[in-house]
Amino acid sequence: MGSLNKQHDLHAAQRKESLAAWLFMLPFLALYAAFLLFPIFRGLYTSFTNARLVGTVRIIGLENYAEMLADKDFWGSMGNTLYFVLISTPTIVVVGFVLAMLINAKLKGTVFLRTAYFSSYVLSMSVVTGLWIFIFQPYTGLINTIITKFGGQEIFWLSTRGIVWLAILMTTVWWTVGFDMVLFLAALQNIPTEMYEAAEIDGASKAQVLFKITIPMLRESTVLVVMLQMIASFKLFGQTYLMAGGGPGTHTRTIVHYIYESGFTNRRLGYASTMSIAFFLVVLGFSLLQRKLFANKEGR
Amino acid sequence: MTKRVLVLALALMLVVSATVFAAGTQESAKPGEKTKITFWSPFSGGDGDIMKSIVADFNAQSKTSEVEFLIFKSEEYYTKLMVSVSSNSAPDVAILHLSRLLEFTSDNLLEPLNKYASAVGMNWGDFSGVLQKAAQIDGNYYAVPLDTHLLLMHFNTKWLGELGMLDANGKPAMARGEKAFFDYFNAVKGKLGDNQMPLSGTSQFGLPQYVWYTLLTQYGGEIQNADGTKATLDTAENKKALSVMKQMVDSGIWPKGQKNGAEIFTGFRATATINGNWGIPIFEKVNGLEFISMPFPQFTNVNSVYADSHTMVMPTSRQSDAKKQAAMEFMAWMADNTLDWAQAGHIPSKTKIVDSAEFKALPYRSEYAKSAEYAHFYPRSLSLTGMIEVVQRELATMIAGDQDVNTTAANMQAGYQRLLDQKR
Amino acid sequence: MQHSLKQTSLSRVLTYALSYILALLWLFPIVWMTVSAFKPMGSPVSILSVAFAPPFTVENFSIISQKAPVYIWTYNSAYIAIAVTLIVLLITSMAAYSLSKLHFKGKKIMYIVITMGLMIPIEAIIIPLYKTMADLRLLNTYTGLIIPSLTAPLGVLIMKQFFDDLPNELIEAARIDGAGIFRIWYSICMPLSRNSLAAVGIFTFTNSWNNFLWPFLSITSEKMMTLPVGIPQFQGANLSEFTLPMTVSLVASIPAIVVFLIFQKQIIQGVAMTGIKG
Repeated sequence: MGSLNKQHDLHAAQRKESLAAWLFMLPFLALYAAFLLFPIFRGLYTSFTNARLVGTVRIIGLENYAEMLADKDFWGSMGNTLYFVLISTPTIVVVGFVLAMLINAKLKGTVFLRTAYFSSYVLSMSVVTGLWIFIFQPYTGLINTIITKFGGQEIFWLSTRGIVWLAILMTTVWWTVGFDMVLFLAALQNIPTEMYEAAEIDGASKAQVLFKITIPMLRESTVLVVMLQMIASFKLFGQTYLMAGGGPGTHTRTIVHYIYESGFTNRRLGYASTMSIAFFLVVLGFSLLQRKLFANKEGR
Repeated sequence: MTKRVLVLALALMLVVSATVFAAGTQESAKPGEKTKITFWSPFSGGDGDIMKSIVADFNAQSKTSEVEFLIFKSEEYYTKLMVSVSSNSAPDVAILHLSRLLEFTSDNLLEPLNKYASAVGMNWGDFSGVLQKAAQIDGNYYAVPLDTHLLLMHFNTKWLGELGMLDANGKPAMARGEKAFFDYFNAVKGKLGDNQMPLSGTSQFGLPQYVWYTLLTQYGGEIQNADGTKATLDTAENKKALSVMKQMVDSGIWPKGQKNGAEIFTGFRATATINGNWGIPIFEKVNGLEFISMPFPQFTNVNSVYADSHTMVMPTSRQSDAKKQAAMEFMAWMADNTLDWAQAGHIPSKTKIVDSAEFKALPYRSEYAKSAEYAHFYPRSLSLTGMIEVVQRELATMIAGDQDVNTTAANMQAGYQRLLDQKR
Repeated sequence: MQHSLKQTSLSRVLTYALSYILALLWLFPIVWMTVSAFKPMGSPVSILSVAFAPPFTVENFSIISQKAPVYIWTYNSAYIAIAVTLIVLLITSMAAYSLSKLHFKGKKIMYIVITMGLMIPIEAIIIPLYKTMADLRLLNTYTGLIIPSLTAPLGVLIMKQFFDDLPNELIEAARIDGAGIFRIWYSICMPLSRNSLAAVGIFTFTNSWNNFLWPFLSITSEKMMTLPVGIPQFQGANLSEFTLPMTVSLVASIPAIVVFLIFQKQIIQGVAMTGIKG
């Protein structure tokens, strides 16, 4: 009898816990479902229609998808985005690592250095781009004023192919590298000092310490940093849009920019939704691929 | 810990109350309260400040309405406006360039004004003939014109005088025609030092497009055929216009890469600048700048200059008739008070104001008001916004030196034709 | 031995030089912005000898408020960021507690569903999100600006990681003492996770403060604009000179910079925490 009762109590307790668990989940889950999951399905539906910002909607099957695959502007902006992912991810990761090493070198004024490297991260994107427009602007901008003062030629930072990417990259590194730096710094400080002491006793050179201890110990952080950085770079829009208007021509028009242009400037919501789906799949694919690659290396 | 819970609860309440507050302020004028009218515009030069003060004048004298005035970045303005109409968050009154009228009416984004206009006793015959005709589609009026505005060239007279480039009347000694233009500015260029340029003008967005359309029409071209079904941009006329622009850039007369041409002119680094009449209030404010605003040079025997008209329109909405009537009253008041608007360099829309002594007394206007006679508007098109986007991008690419004339013309043609085809 | 000592000190000098030069380079744009904001309107601040020499003035700060509601934008940004942060802390810690310490059917699926959300960039759903918000009449409202920032799953995952590390014995002990599920959450788990909460809070705050795309699309009223949206508008309308835009930028940055300087340690710990836990 007693044990049955107990079991009954246990069931009741389990039910109660289960109910409580769902109640605790509810606020987040409701918002998550309504404003993240639902829009995905809605976007999927819209991608099969000819929806415009106004007017009647008709289902047109895969027409948008066919148009997208044949649209060289789509491939162009996707290419621009990938290009930025490829140039920005290694740069920002390496610079972040170097800055973290400098801070970890136990110099005098570490706090000052850390503050200096990190402070730009807290600025808003519009402030950052506004500031760097003034730095790069031809004729009256900061850099060109200095260059021409010393007899150099005007450089058209924001309207020359190639160079504009350099300008966008510099801006992005300056703005966001502090974040990656701190991630590396935390990982560096977690490496047990005994390992370095042991290496010193063994007479290891600095390069050996770097490549045999420091870098391998940072693997996990690196995976994380690369992953976060890649996703951030895929989403590039503000810097290129505000600093170069996607130009010269369409040279810096990213996929998010093109989605915005198609959906809002040209009012083709259906087509823009189709490209959003493609964009989503690409990001998802890259994240999964990267996870898989690194997971293998770690032998998991 | 209870403190934390309290704070969180408080925060939630704050958000909820904000929602309620935001929902509550969404309209509904109570009796005795002024009707709130929202009014959007893309004015980014000196004309923004002037419009602000005109609206303030309206608010001061009106007993029934209060206008909230907003300025948007011009590159994003039309996107914002269309999006807002489609999501029921449109302003009560908006500035619309006359050239874009068809695009808005074809998607039913604008209210016809006839009913409201006759209630306030508006006489459409007061407007200049061109504007009056352009403001209606199929017998319905959709827009109240405020002005005609056009592209000009502004010269730093003090500087050019020192260089000996002015004639006896103190005006630039430049004859008519393509050759005269290049001769004049090449001569100026020969007299300038490092870091100085003959002619400034922003190298992207609207400005190159205004120059382009001016030249295109001067050389006898147009963007589309008569019924607006085929783009006509891969033509000899367009290539000629483009190559003249490219020559201006390549010869160093109008150097490339300018983020903001007006700033270079007001910074005394260019002897002249390409800008619309809307640049005048900015230039007037610069200490020590002596300038003259002239009609844009004529490169051929065909008189033409890019022009457009700022009009006021009423986006489609579910507002009450009373509110729409109040908005119409505001629009009518504005159209009667365009003399102040002329401070911004614009040419008023009503003929009696243009003919008034007060308008004629304003500086510079007499120089260029006559070029309004050959002002050239874009033809009506269902895809003008998209066309402008394509043209601006292609021009910016060409000016940056990344693309030759033929490719530019071909890209413009393909881009615009694609838009025209989508509409069908 | 002596040789190696010399080498070490040389590399030390180089390290010093490199790190300080980089620090100055990194700070320079911010310093330039600050100085320019105090220059009389129209000063050619690109010429550094002009920028860093007197005269200085505070006039710009009142001029900008006449030209645009910069201070309202600042208020909006702050209000939204604070509201977002508080709500996110509340709902993510609740969800994380449930996922980590409570037992219920479907827990595993929930966890997967939420983890998948990490890979959805908001940029990819911006168009349907816009339509949804328009249908709900939430465009141009604070609520409409706040909601999309509440669905980020990273907070839940960070908090879950942390709760996972809390010893179950602690919770068992409390349960034996008669504490209920809610009580255990708010009087045991929450106080212990102060650092994680700080981490999540700081991220959420900076993300919201810097959020550009969504407010850019969804706000069409000047009074509802946040700083990231308002500043480019202001710059677009005041192109012909540098000092006023610099002043606006400075005003926009002061709150973030002050918060950063005060909470520097927590912020950096917070960032680092995601690194270790993520």
